[in-house]
Amino acid sequence: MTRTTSAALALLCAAAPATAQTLAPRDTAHVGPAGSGGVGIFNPLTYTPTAGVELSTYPLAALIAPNGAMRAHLCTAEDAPLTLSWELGASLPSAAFLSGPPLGLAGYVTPSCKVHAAEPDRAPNDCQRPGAVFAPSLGLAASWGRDDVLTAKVDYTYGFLLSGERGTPLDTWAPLNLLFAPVFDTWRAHLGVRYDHALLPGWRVAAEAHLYRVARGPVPGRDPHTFVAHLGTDLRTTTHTRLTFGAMYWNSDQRAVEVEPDADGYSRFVHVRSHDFGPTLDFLWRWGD
Amino acid sequence: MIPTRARLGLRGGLALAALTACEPLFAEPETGEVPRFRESGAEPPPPYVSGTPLRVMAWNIKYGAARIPFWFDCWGDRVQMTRDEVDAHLADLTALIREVNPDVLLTEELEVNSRRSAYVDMVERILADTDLQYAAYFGTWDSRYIPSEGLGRMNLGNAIFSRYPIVGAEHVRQADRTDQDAVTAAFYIHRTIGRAELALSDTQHAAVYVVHTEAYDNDGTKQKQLDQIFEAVSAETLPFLLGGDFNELPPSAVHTEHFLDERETALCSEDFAQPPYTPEKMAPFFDAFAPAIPLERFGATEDEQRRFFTHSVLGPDEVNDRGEAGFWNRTLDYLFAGAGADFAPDSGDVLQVAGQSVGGQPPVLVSDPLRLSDHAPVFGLWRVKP
Repeated sequence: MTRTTSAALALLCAAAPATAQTLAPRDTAHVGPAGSGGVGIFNPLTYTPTAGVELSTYPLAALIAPNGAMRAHLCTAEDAPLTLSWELGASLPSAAFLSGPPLGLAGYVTPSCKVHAAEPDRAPNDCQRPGAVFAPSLGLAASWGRDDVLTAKVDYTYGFLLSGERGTPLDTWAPLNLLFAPVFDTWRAHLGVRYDHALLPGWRVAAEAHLYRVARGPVPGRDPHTFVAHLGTDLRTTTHTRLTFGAMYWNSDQRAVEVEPDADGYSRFVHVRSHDFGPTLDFLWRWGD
Repeated sequence: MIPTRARLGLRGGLALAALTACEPLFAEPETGEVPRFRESGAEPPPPYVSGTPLRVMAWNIKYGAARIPFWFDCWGDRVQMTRDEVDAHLADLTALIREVNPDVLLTEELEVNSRRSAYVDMVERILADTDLQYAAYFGTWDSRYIPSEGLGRMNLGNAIFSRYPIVGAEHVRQADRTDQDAVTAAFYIHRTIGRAELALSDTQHAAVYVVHTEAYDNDGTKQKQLDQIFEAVSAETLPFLLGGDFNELPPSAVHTEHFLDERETALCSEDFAQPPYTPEKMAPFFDAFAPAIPLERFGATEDEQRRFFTHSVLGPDEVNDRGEAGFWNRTLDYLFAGAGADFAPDSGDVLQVAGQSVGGQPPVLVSDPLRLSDHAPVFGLWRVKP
């Protein structure tokens, strides 16, 4: 057997579905062993440099909004499957609005301010592009269980205005509203619950519910609460990889209105909450566990 | 004029496509009935004495932005207003309406739930703050989120207000532009011809039309829309009033290009460059219908015609590239009547400045229209023949 054939067989064995070990639950309070890590296309890049401390960033989002977080193991109960961890994060979410394409959104979701650029004296205060915002966050997570895990998380993010004006909320799709809430709404608070259950050693299902609240924003204030639900499943593809997919639902106030007629045929506009649905899909790779 | 460019790159399109929602990304108006509104606690209207002229006015109110230079004007960068700004502007607009005291008001560029105008329902506000008690709203630009310059949610349209009950209202979809890419076109404004039927009395009904045609096309869309309007109104059997922002010069206009509010060099975008006007397209309206301001009154020289100009992008506190302050510099807004209706002689007027009379009669105007919108109101005494 040649060295090339041996290497190919070794790779094949590594890639073959492993059925002996149960696929690990995700998004828990547990911190992986030192040297472990993982990455997804939409999930964060994580790395555990030392026992009990995990570093993470969202690589795609970092292109337009630099971000990073540190999660640290807090404690594990001796006589119960309970684990606590805390998280400290920071991001510059407004970076996306300060420049135009290809990496920025100016000209699309924020003004391009071409007159101001060409003739600064003509309308000096008319450029409504939001200023720079620094958004630190603090969170706490608790998980109960090892194979079937119930996790509760709470976190809070505040956007400190570093320059310029804050800008007004986007009032658009809930995921974007929540992502940029520290920029436009000042702060975002989150309470989430996730139950991750192993159906088979290589197959997991999970259900999540989240409640977000942001600051009320400028007049007229909208309902600051957003409710999110998610159902998803993870399938092992190789020893170190998995495919995850599911569906997510957001319920929020995006200032939508509907026409409501009365018995006489006359109408009025009434505010209604908005419903968004979206698929979730990712390919995850973990190492060092 | 209307800011209408909606840019949506591939990246944005993919992101949006991954989400679905009960509310569509944009809604296109379909020909058919539109909602009618009534002021809460509406009183019975004053008895209509057959043959008595009705005070009518058409006004493009620039979504309550007054003289704030928005980005598409190319003289500023504004995209949104605060609630206080909108409230103040609407208070000024409704003050002028109360001064003129119209029986019928046609408005263009009115918004009911737009991010740029702080989500104010301007139909409700005008009903609440004037003596007009009934309204019909003709939505023309309804989008959940317009990813252009941060516009966001948009619900803009035209409206007809009346002191008399509106017993029916519908609109007809107009031709869309064909010179835009598919994504831009989807998020773009869709013009309509709005029609409301007024019950002046148990036995006397009349029709009112409000229109607002395209401003920036280079494919003949506006000309098609003007033809549609002419055909629709020509088929009307009730005595009618037609008014609005036609975005077209009168057939005898002397000054037809290079207006003082146009930039000498394009700065913001060629999307907002003024295409050549086609004044001859307005001739059929003057020939077939009764104009509030006949061409004889409009005059033959620019000095004479200046008195009837209705539009200026630049306000009085702004200057162009040559340092000239803004003032009304072209006529784009009109009132016509027909099918058993016309205007009292010499009653047609353009309300240009504070201190002028209204239709040659008292009261003298206290409000200054030059500071309230980029269009001046057009006024007339509409006579509906029994």
